[in-house]
Amino acid sequence: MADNFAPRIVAFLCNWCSYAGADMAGISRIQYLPNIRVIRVMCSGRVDPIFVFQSFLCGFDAVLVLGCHLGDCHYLVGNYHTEKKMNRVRKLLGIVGIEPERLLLDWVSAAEGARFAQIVSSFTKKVKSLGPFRKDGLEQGLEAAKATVQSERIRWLLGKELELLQEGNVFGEKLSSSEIDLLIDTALKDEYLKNLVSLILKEKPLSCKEIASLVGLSPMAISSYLIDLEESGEVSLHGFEGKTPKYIAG
Amino acid sequence: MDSTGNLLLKYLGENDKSETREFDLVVLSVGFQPSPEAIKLAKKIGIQLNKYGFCYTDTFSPVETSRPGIFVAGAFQGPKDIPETVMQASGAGAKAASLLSPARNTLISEKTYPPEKEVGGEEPKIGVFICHCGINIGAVVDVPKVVEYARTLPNVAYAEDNLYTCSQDTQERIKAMIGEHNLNRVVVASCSPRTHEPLFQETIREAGLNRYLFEMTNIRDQCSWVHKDRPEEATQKAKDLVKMAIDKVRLFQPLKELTVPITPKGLVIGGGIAGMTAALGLANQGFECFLIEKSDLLGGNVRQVHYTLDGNSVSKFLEETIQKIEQNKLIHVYKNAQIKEVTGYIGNFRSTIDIKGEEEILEHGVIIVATGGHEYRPSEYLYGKHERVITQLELERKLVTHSLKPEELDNVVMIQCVGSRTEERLYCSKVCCSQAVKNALKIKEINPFSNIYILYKDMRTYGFKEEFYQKARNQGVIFLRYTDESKPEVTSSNNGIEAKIFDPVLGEDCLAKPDLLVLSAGIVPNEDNEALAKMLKVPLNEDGFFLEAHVKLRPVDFATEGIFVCGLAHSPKPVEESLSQALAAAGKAAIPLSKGFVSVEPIVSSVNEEKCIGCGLCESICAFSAIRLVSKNGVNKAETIPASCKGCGLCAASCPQQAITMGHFTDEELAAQIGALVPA
Repeated sequence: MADNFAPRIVAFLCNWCSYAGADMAGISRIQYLPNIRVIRVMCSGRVDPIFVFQSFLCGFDAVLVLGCHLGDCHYLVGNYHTEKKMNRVRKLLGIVGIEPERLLLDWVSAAEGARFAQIVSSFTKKVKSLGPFRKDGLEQGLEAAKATVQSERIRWLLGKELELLQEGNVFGEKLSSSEIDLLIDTALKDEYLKNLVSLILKEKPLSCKEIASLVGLSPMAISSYLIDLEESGEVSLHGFEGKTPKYIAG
Repeated sequence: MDSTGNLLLKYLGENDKSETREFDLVVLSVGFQPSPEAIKLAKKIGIQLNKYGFCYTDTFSPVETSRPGIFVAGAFQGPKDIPETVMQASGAGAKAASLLSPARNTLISEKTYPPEKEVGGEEPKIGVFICHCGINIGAVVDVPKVVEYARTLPNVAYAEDNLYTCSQDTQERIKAMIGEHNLNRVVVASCSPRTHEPLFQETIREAGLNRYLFEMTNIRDQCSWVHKDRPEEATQKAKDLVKMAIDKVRLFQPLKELTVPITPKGLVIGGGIAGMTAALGLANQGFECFLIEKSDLLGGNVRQVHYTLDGNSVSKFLEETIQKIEQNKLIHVYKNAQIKEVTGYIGNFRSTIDIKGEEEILEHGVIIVATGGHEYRPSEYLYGKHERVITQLELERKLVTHSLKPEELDNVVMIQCVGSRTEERLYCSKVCCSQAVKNALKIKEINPFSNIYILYKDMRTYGFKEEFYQKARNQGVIFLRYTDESKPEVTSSNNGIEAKIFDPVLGEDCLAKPDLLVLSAGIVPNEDNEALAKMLKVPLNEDGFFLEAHVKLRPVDFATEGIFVCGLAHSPKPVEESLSQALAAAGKAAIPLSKGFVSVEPIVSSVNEEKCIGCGLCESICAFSAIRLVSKNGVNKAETIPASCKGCGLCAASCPQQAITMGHFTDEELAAQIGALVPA
């Protein structure tokens, strides 16, 4: 089964280093597995976390993002931002229940044709061993994750992560990397669950307890998301079943 | 060679003992010599060579040959690394441009294009051209099949294969097909857009289409060449790539190519020798410039240097340069002046300067940073605690002003690498070895009986200066090597100073009681670099010097367009290298100035003002200051500065409101590529 599985991998390559590295592999006639479909961007910094979830929703089995080596970015710091963002995206994939290994970020210079070929082939083999990505049952999670990386709060945190780490916040406080990790990861999970609840309620009205059992969280936790969602107008009270309130999206 | 075929290397160790070791491989670090052709050429064109056969140049005119109007650059002028070569090349260009400036733009005829077709409201009609590249693609990918497939895709009005899509014939054919089929978008599937995109963009522009209605996909370098033994999979990949390109090109809209006019003036920050040379370089090419000096005197560090190793008078050169500056009507000198603020971008900078409390605003198109560096103030070896401990620059001044008489110096100890190549500052200051040799020879010239000891880690009198090191040895200057583990120890008592050093040849400590201890203090960056770097949004390196765009290939540019660097502000270097670099900066800065405008690739960000809430995240992450908040009707909104935007797209990928998009790489266009392969 795994033998005749041909993974479909979308590869975002930056124009200046990794795309040139891919050309170099060609010029040197270094053979590699034919599973990637390349999307050229000027900088790996252009790769919006949204693209990763779009890719999975569009049926790709894995996502490869390649940039210039750290310190060599044509745009000075683009790839540092990409590194931070993709690390978070990997965590979010884990939260959704998708193997984080299906997203790989690595660095290839314009001269490293052999390295490019090696990364593509070994990633393709890795994805083969993971098997096809089956999105059945994960669509809602993927949509919720996409909504999460579209949310203002998360985009702020992802955009500011480097600055928070290097220069501190507006009050001049510098958080340690583990404090920042905790801050952003908590926000990711929080925002994801909120979006998931909202998506679930688009299908049919449910009570807090019903949602809790679907999501696998305590009713206490769900009720706090419901309060948030009610406040922002994304969810409203649909009616009562007996004494139990039921909620619906919108 | 020994019996195993390995190489035996016999050499004299530091302790003067002969040693033999076996090696698998011996790599020779081979020196430079001038090429015989260059020597022949020199004879033909009548330029002087030095005694080694390299092109002769004067210390103060490092790119000028002995014959006016003939300039030199690179290794023919002397052994050197890539950055110095590139600097000299740009510097020689600047020198040549000075001579030619009256004739600038007289031999130019402008290319004309047909007017651009309006395609905005039209249904996309896509033309697809798929290349065989001889057998390079065609032998692996089934090109006709890919063409056939392309024809089935929505909006594809025409598709064909070509033996060579890049050939002149095919360019004509593409133009004809655009006309015949009324095409308004074009896809080429062939080699790399990195090499061939501009060619095809030019072709469709000649046919009246906007250059940005074009997409290219790479089915050679990234497909046929790398999947040689998998023709079927390669053909499938090519089909997919073509589909992705078609789905993207369908969404393309014409992008307006922008040109921004330029204020043809330069701002040179720093009135040292590098800054003055850069200002003269600009003025000689016909451009007005402002020269900003923070002190009340021009000259900078060179004021403290009086003669070069080969005996040229620095003071005379300095005087002549200042005179040239003051007489040049195109150069406006501001002394006692500080930069307060710089806004704008290439072509259109606006700087506020403070001259003794009075502010003035200057408008200019380029900036050259030449703020210099200075000699390290040692804290080592009793410097500042004992009057007989001085630096090389102080020694030079004392010798020139005769406040120190070499006749009275029986014993002199010099210590190299003071403040350089230490844990705190790893770099080599490049000038101190030559400076020590220079001052040692000066003392020897007057007092041949003086004992001079130079305590060094490595002597680096590189290039042609090596002969002065030899000369110093021949004249009896004693060179003693120390290591980080065996640093000299300096103490003082009522009898004067004592220097103790471990002599590796004798294997024991030696004690010297010098009349004078001279420290070869390194060069350190100016303290105000950080503030200026922030103002200009250009980077500094770890040591606090300005960091160029590329250490080898772009030695005077910053990544930010329109800003250049030269002299000690960039890194420690001897006068002649500062001069080359200053000329190079003037040469590079003159390129946009002489063009009169900057053309901007429209691959730039743009802001949807309705969505933008003015949070400023984009401004804070942009490495090029190419997006900023401006108040519009009292509300902050982000705004792209197209001339500064490099098109990376980081802002678009980060905007919390998704209010920013990138020309040619919009969210929708990239989403279409991602979604192109969803099974129908």
